[in-house]
Amino acid sequence: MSVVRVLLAEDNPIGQAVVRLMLEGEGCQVTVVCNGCEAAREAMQGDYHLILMDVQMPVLSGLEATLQIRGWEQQRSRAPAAIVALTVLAEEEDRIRSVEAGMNGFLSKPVRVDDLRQLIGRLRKEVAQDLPLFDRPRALETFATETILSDALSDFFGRAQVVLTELVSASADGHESAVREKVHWFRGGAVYLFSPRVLAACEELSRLSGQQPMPPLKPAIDDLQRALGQLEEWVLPSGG
Amino acid sequence: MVEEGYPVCSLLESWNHTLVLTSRAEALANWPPSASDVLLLPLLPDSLDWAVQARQLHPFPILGVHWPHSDRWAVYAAGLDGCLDQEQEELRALLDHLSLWVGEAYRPDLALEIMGTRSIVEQILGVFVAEAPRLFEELQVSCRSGDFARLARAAHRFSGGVAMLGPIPTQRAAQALEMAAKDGAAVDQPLLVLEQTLSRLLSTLKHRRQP
Repeated sequence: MSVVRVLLAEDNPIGQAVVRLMLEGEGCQVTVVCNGCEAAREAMQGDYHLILMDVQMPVLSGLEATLQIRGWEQQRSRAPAAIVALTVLAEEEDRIRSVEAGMNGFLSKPVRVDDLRQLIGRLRKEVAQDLPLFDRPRALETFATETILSDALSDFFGRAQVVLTELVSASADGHESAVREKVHWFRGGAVYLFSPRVLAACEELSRLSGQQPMPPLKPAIDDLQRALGQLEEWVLPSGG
Repeated sequence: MVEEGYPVCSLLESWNHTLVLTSRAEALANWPPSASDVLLLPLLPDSLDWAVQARQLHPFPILGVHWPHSDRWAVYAAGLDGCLDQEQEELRALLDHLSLWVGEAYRPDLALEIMGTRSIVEQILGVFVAEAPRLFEELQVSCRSGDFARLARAAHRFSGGVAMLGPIPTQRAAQALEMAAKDGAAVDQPLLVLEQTLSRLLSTLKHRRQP
């Protein structure tokens, strides 16, 4: 699952609720803290893909919390987490200071769902890319022999290209029920592929196609196509 | 713009505001009163019905004057932008900060644009109605303490929360209070304006038609 784990550090209960609900609506797993001290502690304990940090918070500011997190990451040679500042549009000074403190960017308050979607979409791609492509031991455990496994994969990929083409045209024509049917086919098949990366792409597509109104699916279809291509190359190197 | 004979007339003139006196019938015939910035509406029988009728023709800032404070919920529900009884300071604050408090108390279109779905908007309005009075109380306490840094922080928190509903009068008023506190300027007037705009917003949210 390419679930994006987000730490939200915001002291305003209304701001907290809005951003948490938006993130959950995008399928993220959200932990909320109320000040910079809690944010630094939680960031060091959890494994977050994204930290959304209000700049002006009580106890310890977002800037000071970021400095602590960056110092801790450096000491342990850890890859730096993405830290994005939440600032009020007019606070240019906060933005400059947030970059100096080691943050990766900023979102203007009020945080808009479109901006958040873009950010999560980019992160989801990175998270999915880190997922294993194929869990061969588990696949063999289920299919018992290499031959049966290989046949199952060949059958799937033989049909997948056709369904993918149908999915692309159904999506372009706005045939929502046909889109859901094709997505359902992929999701059902992906469970038996033992590919966390493909499964994540299918689940994202499934989540989006379940929304009303249905958002544009092209980026998610592209992601699925890419993951399927990578898996096919990996498990069927001869092309069948 | 107010009907003749009210004590508020001499007060407004002493503050160098230009007064246009008119009757309600005359005002309605020439609605909206484009040469004026705000209509001051005294409490008379059927004043609220008149206000509803006028605003349906065209939105224009209306402030109820000489109006018992206890009636303010009905006044806001009728769509008036503010409501005062005999509080001179309150009237002065509202007129001096006219640009802050006029306009629709709540704009569903702006909230939806920010939050994306009606379901999130509805949940957030619930949180806002529950939390805003507590956050405002925090502001009043900070104001009474005379600690400007604390007040600026509290106003920043309040402003950040209400900003989720879009650039509505309450948000502009909260920002003005934050700026005043940061500059160490007088904060009583911006706090009064915020109280008025917040009361109107809460009333509007309470009486709005649920989707």
